[in-house]
Amino acid sequence: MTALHILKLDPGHAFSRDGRAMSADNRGNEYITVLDQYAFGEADVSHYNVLLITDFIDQEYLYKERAKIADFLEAGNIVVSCTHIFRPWLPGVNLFMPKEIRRFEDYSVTIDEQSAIFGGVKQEELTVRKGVAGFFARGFHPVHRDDVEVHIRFTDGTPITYVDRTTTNGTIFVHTSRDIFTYATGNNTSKLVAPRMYDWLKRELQKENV
Amino acid sequence: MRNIAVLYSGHAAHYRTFTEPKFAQYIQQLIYIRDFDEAMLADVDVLVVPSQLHLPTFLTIVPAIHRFADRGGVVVAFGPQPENWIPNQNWELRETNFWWWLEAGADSGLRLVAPEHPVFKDGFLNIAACTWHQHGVFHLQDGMTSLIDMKDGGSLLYVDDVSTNGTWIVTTLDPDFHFGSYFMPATEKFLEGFFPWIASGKLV
Repeated sequence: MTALHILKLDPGHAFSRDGRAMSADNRGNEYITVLDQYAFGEADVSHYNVLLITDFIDQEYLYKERAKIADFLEAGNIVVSCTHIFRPWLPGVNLFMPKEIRRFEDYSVTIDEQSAIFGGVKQEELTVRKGVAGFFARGFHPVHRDDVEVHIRFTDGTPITYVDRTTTNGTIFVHTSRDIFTYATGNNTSKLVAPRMYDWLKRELQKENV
Repeated sequence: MRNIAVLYSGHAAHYRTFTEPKFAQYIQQLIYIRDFDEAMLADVDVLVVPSQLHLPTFLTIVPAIHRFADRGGVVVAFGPQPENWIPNQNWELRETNFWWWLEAGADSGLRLVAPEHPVFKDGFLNIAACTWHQHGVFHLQDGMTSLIDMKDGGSLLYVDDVSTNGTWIVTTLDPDFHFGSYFMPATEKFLEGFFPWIASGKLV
C-alpha cells in the first residue's frame, strides 16, 4: 500500500505561530511534512503524493510555480486546496466567488451523506459555533460539470467541496474553506472530518474511492 | 491626501481587501512583499503593514520600515504581533474572544479612552466600528497615546509619536483579514473610516 506523504506549504503568518485550533499551524505529524511556502519552487517533491494548500498561502507565488503544481498532478498525485483561489494556479478551477449572504441561514450547507469524509457530520456543527454562523464556507469555486464529485454544497445546490479526477492525471480536491485538517478538535461530529480525510487520501492514492 | 502604500502578501484575504475598489482608491502602491525595495517608499507618507504577512520575509524589510519612520513616515500595524518589530513593542497574546456578545452583560471589553482624539472627534471611527474580537493587547510606555483600552488592561489601538521621528498607529485589530475573508461585517465599517482617516485626518 502506498504510504501517505503530505507536503504542507507553510504561509509563515502570525496565526500559524499561535497553535490555534481554528487556524492551520505549522506542526507536522506522521503524514504531514511542513515546508516554508517559498521553498516549494526549489524543493524535490518526488517523495510526496499530496500537496496541501491552506488559506494564507501566497497565491502570487503559487501562480509563478503553477507548472510545478501541474507536473505534480500529472504524476498522479493529489492537490488539496483549502482557500479562496484568485489566481489560476490550479488546473481547471474557476476562481472564487463570494456567496451572497442575506441571512445567517445562507451559510447552511447540505452534506452528501455518501461522502466518506463528511457523511454523518451535522451540518450545523460545521457552519455554526456557539450560535454564530459562517465558520465553514463564505463562497465557492464555480463548477458546472457532471464529472466532479461533490461532497458539500450550499443549500441552493452550489458546490463548496468537490473532487476533480478528470482535468489532470491526478486528483484535485477543492475545499472552499479553511484547512480541512483543523476539523479534529471540536467536541462534536466535526472532529470526524480530519481523520476521515487522511483515510480518504490513502484510498484515493490506491484509486479506491471510485 | 497622504500617499498610502500597503504591503501585500499574496494571500486571499489581502487580495480581497486591498483590491476592493472603495479601499484600493486610497492606496497608491500595493507592494508585493517579495518585490519590496526601500526605494518604493521614497514618496510614501503612510505605510500600512497588514496582519498575517509571511514573517520571515517581512522581518528582512523591518529595518527599511524603521528608516522610513525615522524620516517622519507614518506606519500602521494591524493584528497580532508574534515578532518584536514595533518600537517599544510589548505585545500580550490573549485567547481570542470570538463570542463575547453571547456572554452575560455583553461587554466587549473595549473602552474608548481618548474621545477627544481626531479619529473619533472628527467622526472617522466610533467604538462600534472597532468592535468585533481581539487577539491580544499592547502594554504601552510613557508618551504613547492609547485610543482604545481593554477593560482588563492593555491597549487595543494606540498612536506612538515619541519612539521615533515618525508616527506609529498600532492596533491588535485585524480588519484586513476579516473583511478579506468575508467574515465579521464590523471590519468593513472600520476600514471605511480608517482609510479616510490615514489619508486626510489628524493623526495625533
